[in-house]
Amino acid sequence: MAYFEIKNFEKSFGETKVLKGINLSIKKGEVLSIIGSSGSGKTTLLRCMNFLETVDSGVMVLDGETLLDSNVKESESILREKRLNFGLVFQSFNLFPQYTVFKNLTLAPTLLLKEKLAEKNNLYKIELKNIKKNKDISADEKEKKIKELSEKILTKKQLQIKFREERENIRKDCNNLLEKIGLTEKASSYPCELSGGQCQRVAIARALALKPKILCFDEPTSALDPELTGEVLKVIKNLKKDNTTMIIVTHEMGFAKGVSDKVIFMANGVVEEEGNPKDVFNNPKSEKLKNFLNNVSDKDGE
Amino acid sequence: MTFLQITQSLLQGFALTCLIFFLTLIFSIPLGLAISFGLMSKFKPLNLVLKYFVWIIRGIPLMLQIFMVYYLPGILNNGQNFWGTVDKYLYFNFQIKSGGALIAVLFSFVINYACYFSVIFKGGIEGVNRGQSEAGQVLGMTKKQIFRNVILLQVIKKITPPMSNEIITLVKDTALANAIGVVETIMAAKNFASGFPPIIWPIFYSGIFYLLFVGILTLLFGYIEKKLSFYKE
Ligand SMILES: Nc1ncnc2c1ncn2[C@@H]1O[C@H](COP(=O)(O)OP(=O)(O)OP(=O)(O)O)[C@@H](O)[C@H]1O
Ligand SMILES: [Mg+2]
Repeated sequence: MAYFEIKNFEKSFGETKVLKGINLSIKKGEVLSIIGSSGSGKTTLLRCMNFLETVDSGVMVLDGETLLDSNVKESESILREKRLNFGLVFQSFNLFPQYTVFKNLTLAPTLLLKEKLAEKNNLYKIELKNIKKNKDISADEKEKKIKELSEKILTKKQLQIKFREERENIRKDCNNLLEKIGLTEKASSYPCELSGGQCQRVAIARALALKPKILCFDEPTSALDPELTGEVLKVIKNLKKDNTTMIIVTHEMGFAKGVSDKVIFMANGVVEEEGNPKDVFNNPKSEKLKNFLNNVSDKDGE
Repeated sequence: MTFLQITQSLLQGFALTCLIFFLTLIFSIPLGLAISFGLMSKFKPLNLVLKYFVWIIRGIPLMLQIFMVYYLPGILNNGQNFWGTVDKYLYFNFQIKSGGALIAVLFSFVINYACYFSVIFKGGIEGVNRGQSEAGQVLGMTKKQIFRNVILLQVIKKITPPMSNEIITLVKDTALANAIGVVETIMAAKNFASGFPPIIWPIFYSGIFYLLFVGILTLLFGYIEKKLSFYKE
């Protein structure tokens, strides 16, 4: 069974229908590449997956859990939870310019940690209140439960201590990530002091810091000078070695061929052709894909 | 008239100048923020009304707005001098001179500057790349967290130069208050020039007060800009 599946995604902007029933599926640890000419809807598809756009219709299932069903309207907080299943790396990096590389990585996980700790504490408090009001249980039992819960509830100071402890883990994780992308010595630099390739590597690490189940890339190397694409592609290749499940929109055909387990060719909002990279690149069936591949190789030859 | 006496008299005027300056800032910044959110709101009627309101306020001289605020209540009220009544009330009860005029001035200043600020705020907020808040969203931050941790500082950095311009203009605009009889710095100086015997030099002297004030503000804003220059976009 597929680890991740999209069924019948449709999306229009006003009159223009951009996605016309997209289906796709991948297995855990696989890399899926999406190729297609400009305007075919690749970015829109990724944005819909990441809940940056709302689909008009469609279903999305990850690891047996229905993440999205266009018939069900979810609250903002639930959307937030679901979003965390994915990481998204933008074409233009979108690093936070006012934070150092390290803080870019730690910011979101730290905020999340703080929130989670406070939330848990609040739940205990509510439970305690309910038990105190409860008249159906015996006094002994009540006392026992109250004692149990009271021990679990942390004071503000304890909460702070616990937060500091767990924040250490985040820091460790982020340091490891920096090492992985080879930018340990840039930890305290600001994004404006980095090259494009370095920025994009940081953006990848930032997405990984939240441990997403699927990492999405939208043309991660399009904004880079040609000599800087290599370092970013290398990071992605290393992620594949760690069995990271990835969906990559790319114009780098050679890279797509090498790294993917599966390739999808999109044209005009539909999946025109799909298969393993060998078949798609060496034996294209549809005219559109043949044309597309010819155009791309022409450009490469320039 | 000794130098000391004249200085004292000008300082009294300068106290009013400062009062108008600070009260205008304190009220017009939050009001301006509110208006800027209205200007960016998707609720069409509110958006449209505010757009025209800001256009009108920014389109006519502040002096005229002061006159409007000062004379309109009287005209609407059968020629009763509304602010004059307030003046008297404040004088008899609190010994505050020309308090009505002062309130009228503050009223028009706050509205006027809130409109100018709102446009700056709107530009600052919209000027932050949309990708920034999308990056925050994708990283699971709430709207509030995104505003506080990602957007706010970038907006402040963007609006510091235009805000410092406006705020320095405000220092000098406070002089308009003397059009309806508020004895601020310049009026205090002018009173000497038109007295018997006329003394001219306080007119020049009063300029020093403004220069000092603006000088301090310039240093302050320079400091803020420098503090925020630790990153570039
Ligand atoms: N917010 C939007 N409002 C209106 N139209 C949009 C919007 N976003 C995308 N579109 C349109 O949807 C179509 C598909 O855009 P999309 O960005 O998904 O294409 P793409 O395959 O990513 O192209 P590229 O390779 O150039 O990045 C385009 O025609 C585009 O103009
Ligand atoms: Mg795109």
